[in-house]
Amino acid sequence: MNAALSVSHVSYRYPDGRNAVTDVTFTVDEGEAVGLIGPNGAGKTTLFLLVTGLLSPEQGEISVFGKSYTDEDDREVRRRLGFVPHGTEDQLFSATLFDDVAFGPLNFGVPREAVRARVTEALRKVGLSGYEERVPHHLSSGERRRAALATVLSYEPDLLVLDEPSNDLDPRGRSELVGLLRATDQGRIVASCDFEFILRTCDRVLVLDAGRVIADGATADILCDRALLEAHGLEVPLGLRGCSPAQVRELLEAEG
Amino acid sequence: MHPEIDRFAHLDSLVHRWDPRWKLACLFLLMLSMGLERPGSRDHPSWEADLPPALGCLGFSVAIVLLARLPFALILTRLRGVAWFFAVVLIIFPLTYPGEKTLIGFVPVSSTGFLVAFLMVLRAFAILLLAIPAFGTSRFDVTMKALRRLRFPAPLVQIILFTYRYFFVYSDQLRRMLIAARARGFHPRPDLHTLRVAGNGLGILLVESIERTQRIHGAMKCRGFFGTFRTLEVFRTRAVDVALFCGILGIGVLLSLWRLL
Repeated sequence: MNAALSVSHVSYRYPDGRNAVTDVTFTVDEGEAVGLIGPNGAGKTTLFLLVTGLLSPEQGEISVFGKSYTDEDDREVRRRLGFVPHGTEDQLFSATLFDDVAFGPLNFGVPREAVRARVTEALRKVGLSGYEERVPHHLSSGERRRAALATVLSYEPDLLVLDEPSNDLDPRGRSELVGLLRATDQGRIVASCDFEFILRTCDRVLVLDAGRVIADGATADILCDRALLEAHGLEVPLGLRGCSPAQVRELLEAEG
Repeated sequence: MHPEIDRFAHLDSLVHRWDPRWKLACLFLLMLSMGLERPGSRDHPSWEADLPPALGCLGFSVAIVLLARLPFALILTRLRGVAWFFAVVLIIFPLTYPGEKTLIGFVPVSSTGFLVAFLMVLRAFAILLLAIPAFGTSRFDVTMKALRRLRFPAPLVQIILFTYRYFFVYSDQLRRMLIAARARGFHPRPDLHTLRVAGNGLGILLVESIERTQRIHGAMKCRGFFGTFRTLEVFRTRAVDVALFCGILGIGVLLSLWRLL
């Protein structure tokens, strides 16, 4: 299988000299769902800024579907990668939700007549049909979170990069998002402190601490590894305590 | 749709249905003609010659507001703030205008100065009234897109749109900061401490706005933005748009020529 995202020996240091990411290497295959967990300040968001080309690594290389951000065809790299940052106010910058969701498709050259259909479909997927003319500022935080996802779904990227996507969502909104992500065949990399969400949406998990990848394995194996999680300031979710990875897999299969 | 800024945009009238590009162009030219009216009147102004055209302008603006079916009483209430400015003009001009003065009590007052001020206030009020159907009868974002189609500079339109989008975000943030300060015993008073707290709050907002700008630019880049704003808004010119443009502008031109004729 081809790599959708390849991160090779990437390091990044903030201008104040603090190491944010150190020698990180991993790949995400096409269609693969990978979770990124770690304590606060582990470097998850910085890693996402590097992956999306918003920061340039000091060392190492990042390629998206075989192309790097230094290539001339930067727009094509960005079209294949849909990044939803943690702060939804930053993602929703237009005067209406329609304009925000149409922003990506219009920039990436989707035919104008198809853009309206794309916007309608993206908003339907996130449960915001009929919200086209709403001012983003007036949406609830949960609605904004879903709207932010719609802004990238509309240009149909091949890899979703989601930073804390389940924040601000109520249980129903979170379940709907889980269903939406499971139904899509797009690959994804999801950073979250919501381990149950990670369990239900990702097959593989990377553990990041102090800017380094500490562990990389199947989600059930990692999330049941109490010693590993506690050593890095994390803990096994309450619902999984006392469960073996095999039991967790059975549970997930039963859930469908 | 913003409930305050776009308050009148949902109403239905001929002016609301008017293509925003034609509407903006026409009403802007009309405002310009009212504002740039040659002050032959300033050299030798007279109530007989200058008042009727000025009243004509005001009447025409009122007619357009009524044509737009805007609630006139509410608009007058909203323009209350400007009345203070008009009052200052009406007081200062008669006192400072050069030429012959009449003593009212012991204060020398120029009647010509009062006439000039009064004409100025009438025209300014007429222009202000026109601005409401120009900018208030379409959604704000649609108005901005129409401005862009009229070749208004793109950076300026983008700045206005971003201001529209984030003004209320920062207003809310300022309000939350004030609540947080009050919850910790802060009471605004006319003293140095209050100024310091206000300065710190505004400083934080400024720094945050710079950081937010960088994050927004990042989000735009990720979604393929390379300096050109694209929009799906389609404007179509109909015969009635052109007819309204010609009709209203024609009357405006006649009003401007009134004084000369």
